[in-house]
Amino acid sequence: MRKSIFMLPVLLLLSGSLGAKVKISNHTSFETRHFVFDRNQHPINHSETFETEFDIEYKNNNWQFSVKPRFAVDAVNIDRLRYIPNEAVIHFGDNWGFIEAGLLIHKWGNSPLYNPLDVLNRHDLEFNFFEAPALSELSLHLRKFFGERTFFDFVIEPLFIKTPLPELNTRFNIQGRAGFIPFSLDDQISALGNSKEVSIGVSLKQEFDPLNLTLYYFHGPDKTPGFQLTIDNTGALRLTPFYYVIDMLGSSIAANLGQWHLNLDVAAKITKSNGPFAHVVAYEDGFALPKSYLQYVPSFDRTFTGLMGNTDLTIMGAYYGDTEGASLKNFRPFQNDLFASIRADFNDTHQNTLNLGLTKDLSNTELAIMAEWQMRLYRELKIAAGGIYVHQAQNLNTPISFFDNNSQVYTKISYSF
Amino acid sequence: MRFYILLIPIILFTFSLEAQEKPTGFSIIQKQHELSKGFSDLSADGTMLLKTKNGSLDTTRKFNYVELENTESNEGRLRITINYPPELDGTQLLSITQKDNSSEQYLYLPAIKQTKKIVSQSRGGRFLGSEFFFEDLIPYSWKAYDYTLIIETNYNNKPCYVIELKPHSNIQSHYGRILYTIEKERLITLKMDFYSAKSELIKVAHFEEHTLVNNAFWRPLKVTMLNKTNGRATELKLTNLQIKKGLTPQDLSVMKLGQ
Repeated sequence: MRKSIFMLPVLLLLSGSLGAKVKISNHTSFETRHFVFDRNQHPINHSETFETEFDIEYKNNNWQFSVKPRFAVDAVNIDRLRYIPNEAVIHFGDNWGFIEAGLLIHKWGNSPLYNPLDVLNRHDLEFNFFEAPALSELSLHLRKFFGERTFFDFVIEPLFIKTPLPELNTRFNIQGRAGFIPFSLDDQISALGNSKEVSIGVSLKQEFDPLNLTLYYFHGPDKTPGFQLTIDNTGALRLTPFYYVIDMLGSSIAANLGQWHLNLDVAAKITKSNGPFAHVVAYEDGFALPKSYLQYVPSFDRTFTGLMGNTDLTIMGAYYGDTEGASLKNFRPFQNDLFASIRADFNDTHQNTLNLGLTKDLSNTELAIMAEWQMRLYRELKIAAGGIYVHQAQNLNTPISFFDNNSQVYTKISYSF
Repeated sequence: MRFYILLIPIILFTFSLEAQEKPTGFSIIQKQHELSKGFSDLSADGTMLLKTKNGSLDTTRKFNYVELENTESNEGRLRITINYPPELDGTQLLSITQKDNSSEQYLYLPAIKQTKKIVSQSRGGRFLGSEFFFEDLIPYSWKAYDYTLIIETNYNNKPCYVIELKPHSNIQSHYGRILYTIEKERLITLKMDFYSAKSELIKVAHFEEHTLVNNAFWRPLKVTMLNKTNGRATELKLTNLQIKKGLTPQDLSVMKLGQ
């Protein structure tokens, strides 16, 4: 971030001399989030998060440089301090395509809520376990256009960084029992496994009106680790994250049928490891490496415009399927779930919007209901309030049921300039 | 209806229409079209002011506007790139009119780094909360309509034609008909009245502050769209108009959205 701030006067000078354009904007917010129920073993039942992010962009003909320095701090939890740029990219493009390098957030797949094709970026599970924001990766990205309906993408990520997992003192610290022996997460001594592998991604998109087809291939460490039970130097049982390689073959098919937008994302992930990663105590079937699996998400959305005068109503639905069952080994969200949401944009003076969502696990009693209302107070000053009600199933190793009492309410005030 | 239509008043030569024997709606529009030809491409900076029912300023949006002329060799293209407010920064709308008068629209949303196609049935939606429908922002194909000269009258103390446009049956439109008020002297459009399929007046567009670009093409610098159903208005102002910069269809391609 420091470097990017130093770049600012240089960019401003260049913009004057070369007729280039510099654009600077900022988004600042303060959010207070409260978990309704105390979990007893964790003292932290709320967060007070201040976030500010600048977006600085410099354009000069075919060249573009952009950086998004971000600073986030939680007054209650120091582990949520963030000061890395969200993105920092040098971009060169023309009619043939573009090449860009730096810290990048990539976009693969179209599924709402949970996207199985989103394998190129880590997600900050420590910052927000339920809605983990994507983290940028050091990457080189080449896109080549073939006419107006086809493009080819190549991405290489030479460096691997661990996914931030909730620390011991946070609400989502992973704790459990192997038989009668309690264990907790130890992210400090993680077995990195295949983390030195370079990640490579390629995709090919072709539009056959009204159908869009994209094919994906990815090779590299899965950004979400597996977990292995180990014993630390104090003799305590610990859950140690390790990173394994996946080969992913995927596709995304999107179609417009009248006003209905349909989409199907499919990802087949073949898991590999350079080590056996056997648990040191008897647990599950002994090995910690997840089995190879297939994820698929058919989804739809439709917007009804001009209802009751000015209101636009968007409905959305999705089904999430996964061929492997929920266990600590296959610790993944959305393995047999339905998602439905309604968003109302009232298009009034205060730009009131209302979002309602529901996810239901069809295999058990897990349920989550989300609601958020947002309005503009003045110009770019906005306020939002919402909540998530979570009903977890008993004795299940899923991201929702592993942690009990997750229902939460929040308010957020934000300003952009 | 189509934004290109909204911009027609902007693109006419200084012109005195000679008195003709019984001009028809079609002949007037054809002449207007002839006068608008040849600008090749146009780019401008713009401000969109969203106003409340009582006329006070509600929201400001700033954008970059680029248009490629619809010619025998090129499809008509129009791209709007929002650069203010920050939460919408980078949002792009690309509209393309094909040679067979069909059209395509794409909306790039930077927050999700995704381009969405807007199907014709959805083009009655409002563009970023303004009183402009997506349909209003499609390059106009003048051959896609039937024209009838309704009346010759005075508007703002200027002799004008009032011409009715009705879309051909194969054109999907959220309007049943549009009335153009065209100034006789320069053949520039001063006003458009938009009617629903049920013949209810839903919107009125006023074109003002016409300027002569490159001493050849009339363009209005201000367009006000007044929504008759909710009383709100959107005022669109253009500055820094430039034509013939040598832009190509590749510069305004679907693939380049988001760059």
